[in-house]
Amino acid sequence: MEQSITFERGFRLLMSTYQSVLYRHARQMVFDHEDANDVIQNTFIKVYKNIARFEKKSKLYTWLYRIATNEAITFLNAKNKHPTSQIHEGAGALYAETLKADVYFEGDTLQMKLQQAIAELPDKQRAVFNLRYFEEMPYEEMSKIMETSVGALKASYHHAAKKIELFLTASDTI
Amino acid sequence: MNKIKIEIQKELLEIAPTLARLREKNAVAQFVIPPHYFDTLADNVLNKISSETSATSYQLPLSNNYLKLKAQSSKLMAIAATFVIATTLVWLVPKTFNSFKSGSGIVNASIDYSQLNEEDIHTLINESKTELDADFLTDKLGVTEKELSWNAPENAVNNSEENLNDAIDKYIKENDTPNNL
Repeated sequence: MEQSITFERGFRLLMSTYQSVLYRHARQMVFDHEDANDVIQNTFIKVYKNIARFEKKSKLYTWLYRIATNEAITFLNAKNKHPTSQIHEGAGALYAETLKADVYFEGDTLQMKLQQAIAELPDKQRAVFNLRYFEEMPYEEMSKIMETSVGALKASYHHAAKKIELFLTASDTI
Repeated sequence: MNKIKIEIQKELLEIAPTLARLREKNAVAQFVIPPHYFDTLADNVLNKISSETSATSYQLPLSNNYLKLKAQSSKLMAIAATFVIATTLVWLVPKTFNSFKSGSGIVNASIDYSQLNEEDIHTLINESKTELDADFLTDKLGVTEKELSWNAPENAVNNSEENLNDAIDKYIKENDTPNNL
C-alpha cells in the first residue's frame, strides 16, 4: 500500500514536470486541443505502465518525447486512416479554417499561415520539424526520439523547411 | 541567445530565410491552454488507469500476485507435459520392444555378416543373442525354426525371447567347436 502511494506521488511529480512540454508537442502534431488531450493522456498512461522498464539508456525526457510522438502519429493514422508517408493535401487549408474558429488559438494571420503550411507536411516530417523549430532540439536527441539517423533527420528537416518557405512566399504573406 | 538557438537560426537562414525571419520575430504557435487544464490532468490520467486496472484485475504493473500466478501455471504445465511424455513412453516402449523381439528382421546394419569368421559368429551369438535375425540363424547356423520355436511376427508371443535364448544356448553347447559351423 505504501509502495503504491509512493509510486503515485512520484508519477504526479513526473507529470507536473513534463506535462506542458509534452502537451505542446502533441498539440503541434494533432492541432486540436481535444485530440491533444487524448494523446497526452494515452502517453502518460503508457508511461505509468512502462516506467519500470525504462532502462536509462537515454534521458527520461527523450523517452517521454518518443512515447508522445508515437502516440500522436498513431492517433493521426487512426483518425485519418492515411499512411504516414502520404502528404496531407488540403489538410492545411482545412486546418486554417479550424484555427480561425478555435478558441484555443490566438495567433495572427502569419502564424495561421505557418500552421497551415506545417499541417500540409506528412506526420513524421511534421514531428521532425516541430522538434527542431519549436522545441529547439539537437539532432542527436531527435535521433533517439524518432529512432532515425541524424543524416536522415537533417534531410527531412531541410526538406520541410523548404516546403514551408515556398508556401509562405507563394501566399505573399510576408 | 544560447548555442542551439544560434545553430538553428543559422541553419534556417541557409535553407529558408523567410522562415528564419519569422522565427526571429518569435512567431511561434500561440496555442491557448484551457484554464486549470494541467491542474486536473494527473487526476484524469490516474482515474483512467484505475478503471483499466479494476477491469483487468491488475494492481500495479507486473504485481507480485500476477507473477506468482504465472509461475504456478508454468509449473502445472511442466508437470502435465512430463506426465504425458512418461505415459507415452510407458505405452510405446513395450510395443517397440515387442516388435523388435517378434523377428521383424532387425539386424545390426553395421556388421557385414558375410565377412564374419566362425569365431566371430560365436562371439556375436554370445554377446547379442536377442538382436539376431531368425533368418540369419537358420541360414548361417543351420538352426531350424522348429528348434527356435519361432513364431511368425504377427503371432509373436512374449516368451519368444526366452525360447530363442534357450535354443541358442543349447545350440552352442552342442556345437561348441568352430568346425561344426
